[in-house]
Amino acid sequence: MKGTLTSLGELLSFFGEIILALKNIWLYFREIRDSFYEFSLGSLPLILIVSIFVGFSTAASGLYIALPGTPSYLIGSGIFKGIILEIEPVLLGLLLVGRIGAGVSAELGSMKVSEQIEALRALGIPPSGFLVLPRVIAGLITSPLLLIIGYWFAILSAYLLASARISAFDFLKGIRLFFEMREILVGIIKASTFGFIAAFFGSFFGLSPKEGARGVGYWTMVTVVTASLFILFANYLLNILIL
Amino acid sequence: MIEVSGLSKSFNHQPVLSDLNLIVQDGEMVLIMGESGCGKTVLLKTINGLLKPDKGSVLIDGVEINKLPESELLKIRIKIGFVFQSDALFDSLNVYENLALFLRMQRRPNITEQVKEALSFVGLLGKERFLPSELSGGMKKRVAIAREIIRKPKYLLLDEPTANLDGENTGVIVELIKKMQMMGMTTIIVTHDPRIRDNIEARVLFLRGGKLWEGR
Repeated sequence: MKGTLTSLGELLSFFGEIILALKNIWLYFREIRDSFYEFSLGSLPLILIVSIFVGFSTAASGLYIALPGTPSYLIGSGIFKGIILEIEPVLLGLLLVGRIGAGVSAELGSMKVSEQIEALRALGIPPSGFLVLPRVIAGLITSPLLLIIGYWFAILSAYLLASARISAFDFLKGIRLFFEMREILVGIIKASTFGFIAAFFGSFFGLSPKEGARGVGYWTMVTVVTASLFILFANYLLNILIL
Repeated sequence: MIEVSGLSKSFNHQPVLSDLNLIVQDGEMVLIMGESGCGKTVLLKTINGLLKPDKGSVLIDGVEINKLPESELLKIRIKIGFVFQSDALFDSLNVYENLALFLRMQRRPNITEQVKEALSFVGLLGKERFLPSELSGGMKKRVAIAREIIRKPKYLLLDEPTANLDGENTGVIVELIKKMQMMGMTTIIVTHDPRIRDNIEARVLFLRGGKLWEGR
């Protein structure tokens, strides 16, 4: 119990440092830009491939689940909502944990081991501002952009697979009839939250005390496990709160 | 002035520094010698607040730094240069970016000129675009020194500046230390290398049993 409270305190303190670093955000513009490019362009090919398969598998499941006689446009609508509300945001979040969270954790961890973090502090530069803030901001901003691009690829691939049984007219009619802008916004809020979680935990565990390469590997694994669980929990929480 | 009094520090219940006292006057160069593992690095890291002492105090220009929060320590450290034994260059930044980082964060003007001046000082002009991984051990050490020199710190702490260097590179570093001495920088060097002691005019102290002893 005491250990849990201590960890919670450290997490809150780390979050507080990031908030405090915001007052000098203009100093870290270059680092934010670099992280933005790394997270967005670096993750894009993976997101596109995964989105195509999200579309295929959601469409295949939708066609399988639909009872005989179900109007085609309802199947189209079901596939669309499944993609935008759940499957694409959650899978994107879990991918970001692997791509961004693990990457940040390993990068900062190896910097810690090679005394580069101490060197930053010795230069009077706060790691929370120079290293963490840019990554957290980039995580917050890039994930919704990746999600929107992923949406298009997932929906297009879902349509391609479903077109064997549903006409384009019915597929689009289903989307239009039950379309709610709020649901897209929910997906965007989810993606942003998941991007934050990936970058935040990657940074937190990356900067935690460690010894050698084994420590870097261990804390990278902890990052992936913890951030994945937090993403699934946050997804559930957001579904309850804003859907 | 740097004033260290009653400093104690232990790791895993093993005392490394015990009731250590040290005063370094402005403009003075102090050489602290001792065997590997005797606590030289711990002493330097405690002096610039990277490590917190278990007991005792460290005063930099009259400010007791071990009671300051990290945000205040960062401000104090701006006037303390620190050359790490491992060099600790930022491996994803090239030489220019390593040197320019501090100036950029402090929003200082004429960064390019200052970087060239510092690289010229350590004899590495023209290596701006090299990554640390593309430099030899001696070059890395000189870049690490340049990264601190460029800050024009009041105090300079050097941790084993000739560790893992051959005779020729050691000579280069010794010459650099002499040049820095002429600049009037208050400097503390910790080393176990007698070649530094033999070639530099400095007050020599020995770290043994967690305490400092006068000697030459």
